[in-house]
Amino acid sequence: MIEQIREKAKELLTSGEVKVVIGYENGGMPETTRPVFITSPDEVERLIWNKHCYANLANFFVRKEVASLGKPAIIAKGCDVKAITVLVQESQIKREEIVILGVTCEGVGEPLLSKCPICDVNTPRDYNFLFGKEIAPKNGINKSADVEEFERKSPEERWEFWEEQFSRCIKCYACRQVCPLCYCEVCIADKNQPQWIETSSHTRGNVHWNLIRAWHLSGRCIDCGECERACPVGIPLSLLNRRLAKSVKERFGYEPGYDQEKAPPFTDFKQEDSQEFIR
Amino acid sequence: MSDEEAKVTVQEAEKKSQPVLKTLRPENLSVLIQKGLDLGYKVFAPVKDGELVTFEQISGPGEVFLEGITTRMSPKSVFFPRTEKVFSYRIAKEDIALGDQKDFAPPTIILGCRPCDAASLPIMDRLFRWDYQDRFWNERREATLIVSISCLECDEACFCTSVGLAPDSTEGSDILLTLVSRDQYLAEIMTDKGADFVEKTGLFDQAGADLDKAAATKAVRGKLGQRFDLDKIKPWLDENYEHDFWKEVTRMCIGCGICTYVCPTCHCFDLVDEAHYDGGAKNKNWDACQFAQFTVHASGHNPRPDQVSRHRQRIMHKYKYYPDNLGATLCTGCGRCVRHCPMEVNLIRILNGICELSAGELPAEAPESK
Amino acid sequence: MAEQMKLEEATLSDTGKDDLDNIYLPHLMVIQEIAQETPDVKSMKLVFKDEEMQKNFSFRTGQFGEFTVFGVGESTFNICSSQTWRDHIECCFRKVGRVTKALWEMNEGDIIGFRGPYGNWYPVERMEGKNILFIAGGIALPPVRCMIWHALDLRDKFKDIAILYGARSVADLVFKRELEEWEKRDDVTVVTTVDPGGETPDWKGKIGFVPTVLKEMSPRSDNAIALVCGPPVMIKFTLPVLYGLGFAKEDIITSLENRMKCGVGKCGRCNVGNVYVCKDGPIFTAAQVELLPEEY
Repeated sequence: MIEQIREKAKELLTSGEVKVVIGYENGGMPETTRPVFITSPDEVERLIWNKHCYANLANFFVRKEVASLGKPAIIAKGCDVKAITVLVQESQIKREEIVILGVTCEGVGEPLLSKCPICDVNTPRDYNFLFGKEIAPKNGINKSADVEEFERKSPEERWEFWEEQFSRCIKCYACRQVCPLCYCEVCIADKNQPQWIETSSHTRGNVHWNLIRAWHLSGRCIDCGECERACPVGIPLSLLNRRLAKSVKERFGYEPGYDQEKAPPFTDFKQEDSQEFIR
Repeated sequence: MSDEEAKVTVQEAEKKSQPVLKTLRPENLSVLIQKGLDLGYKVFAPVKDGELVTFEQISGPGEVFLEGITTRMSPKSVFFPRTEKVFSYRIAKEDIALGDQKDFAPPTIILGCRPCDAASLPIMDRLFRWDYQDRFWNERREATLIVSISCLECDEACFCTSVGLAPDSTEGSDILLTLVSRDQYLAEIMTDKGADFVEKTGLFDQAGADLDKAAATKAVRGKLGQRFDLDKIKPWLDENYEHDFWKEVTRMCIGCGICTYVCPTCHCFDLVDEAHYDGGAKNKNWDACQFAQFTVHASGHNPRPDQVSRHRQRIMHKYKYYPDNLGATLCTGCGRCVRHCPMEVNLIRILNGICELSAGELPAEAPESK
Repeated sequence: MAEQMKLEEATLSDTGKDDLDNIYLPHLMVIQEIAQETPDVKSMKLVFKDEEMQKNFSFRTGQFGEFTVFGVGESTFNICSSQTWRDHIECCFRKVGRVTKALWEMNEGDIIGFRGPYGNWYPVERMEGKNILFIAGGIALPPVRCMIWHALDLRDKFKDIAILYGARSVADLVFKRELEEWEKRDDVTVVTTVDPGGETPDWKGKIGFVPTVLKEMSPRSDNAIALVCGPPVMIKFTLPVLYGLGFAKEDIITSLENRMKCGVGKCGRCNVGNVYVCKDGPIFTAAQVELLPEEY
């Protein structure tokens, strides 16, 4: 299928329909890939596709180093496409100004990343061109099984767990930088008038940061798991993200990234929204 | 302070003219750790928690995990914590009272660090002992004993041999252990500090003349090879602050600080105030040249306005500015930045790219006669 | 790690004296006098809380310090007073960031922290016996003003002294009372200018940008040194005029600014190429600046 992708990339670049194809090339380390920005039809051979194509390339739309190259085509897995959908909903990109080269995907990583067994977008829900055999979405997946299991613990145990996890945080902000939906021009963590979040990497500052990051993504996070993959100290950020996703789904019946037309819960008010928290 | 003085480091000052060679039986390593604890040292060693191996303070030899190549985080945090209070203050009536930090440098052992991590310490001494003395780094350095273990394995990210080090380098170690046979570590005792400790433990034996460290590490040296030619890097950097190469090779960099935070030689920091109602503290926190906020002026002007310039700064600092100013490459080839970059930016690839450009741009050198 | 978050009780101790080994520990200074220079610029006279410290403190004109507003943060300012003044130091700042906004709110008698002096200083020995041309724009008068006073205090050591100072508008001129004082002297030439549109009906100075007015002034470059501080755009257009007047790059002196934290060459953020503004600067000649990458 990589041959078809390269062919399409070449065609798009040659015709001038796109100026850059954002894809993956082989990394220098075994079992790694690296984002690559192909601007010339002669270079499409560099493009690859395999189960180590982890990065959510939607991250690069908002980066000026990439945006300055011109109209992009992007190689995107189902989960990556969900991020694109949210970016379009949030007016960060215009759908017609990008070309999605969707790839069907049976999961990345060996062993599979935690997002893959609970994936229901093996075939991307939006694309301009699709590569690979269509995979029917699995039915009846419980996306929050790990959250439910975790919630059987007592509040004290849960707090202890997170305190321990966050105490390792080194404030490298990789979770933010790698997230396709963390695109704020000035992140609240970088604002100092007032200083909302302590910059020190002690437990208090770390809890601050990690909770606010997760909250800012509630109802938006599409569980691409990039934050958890990038975290150099192994904080299980997906567990936190899925916990918030579970609440949003329960309360508002909403899952981000599936339907461009459906208004995100935090931009929309409905009379029937659960309002018991106001009492 | 002259350059010469700047180059005198703790280790070099204490270094024995000839290392003393002894041996240690592998099963005695645990006893050694326990002795260290019994003697009242704080002991830091690699500890495994799930997939993550990092240096932690340990309370017994059972916690130590010595397999694996490098730990995720380097042991630099023992000397340079990611957050550290450098003084406190209290508001008392109309006055302010300052409180200095005391007793922050208890006797400490770092056990099981790799030669690349040990080598980072004398490199950083040059900075923290340069002109103004950073007592937080310096006093901990003096109070800490470094017991390293030579590498017999490496991965594709390791490149110590390309920056003038080796899997069995003694730089920065007080004692370097190399497993020369199944039942023997060769112990190279490099400093008086190391010799004192060896004496106190009574666990080391006289070494026979037949012990060959080079033979033990030959295989891994072969595997490491030379990943790039260090001699070509700085001359190219000297001339190429502006070059399209930078844009091409750093475009996938997303500006997270992982490379700097896992690095044993990255040392940039921030000083921030943290206040509560009647007092507070000044914290010295890790900071990173990869962050947009790092250099931004209060006016909003940013001398390094894009990721290209920020990434270039990291490479320039390590391979040009630090050598220019302090006489050493600010990199020990531990490979962490290569291993843990979420976008596989890969420093080795960039340095190789520089070597290629340099070969294309500089007049060809006369072949070396060997 | 949790223990790191506990803020230990500060030991109530005397300030500074025996704490010199901690390079991050400030000395306490009392704000003796505050002057509002413009709607958003203030200058402050500061004295060390410890009288001994004040007596023994010395610095060289052009050096800078790290000024702490406790609980808020630290900011880098040039010491805008002259080394010839021994009873206090002065600083001048624009209300723009977190620290300067907090400093703005402080009153006479309040206490701030000071670390310094840091950095290099004006090459006074080279300037002695020469004609000195001072050029400053806007908020950049303070780093020039310290040298102006230095030269005026030791007037005999310098030949002709001329000052060209410009600001966006009359309201933006800092140290107005000193400008008036200098104008009254007959041993110094003072030219003030404001950008077109920035004048008031009773403005008696020039109207025009600094480079243009400098061209009109046409000062002599023989046996002269020019000291130029101002916003980058002013510097950019002023240097060619100075070159045109015959000033050598080595005889044009300026002060660079970059974000700093430690001030002592460790924290790694103020470098311009391999030059650390805090250690190698902040004072550079135009010849030196020309060799640097544009990273300031």
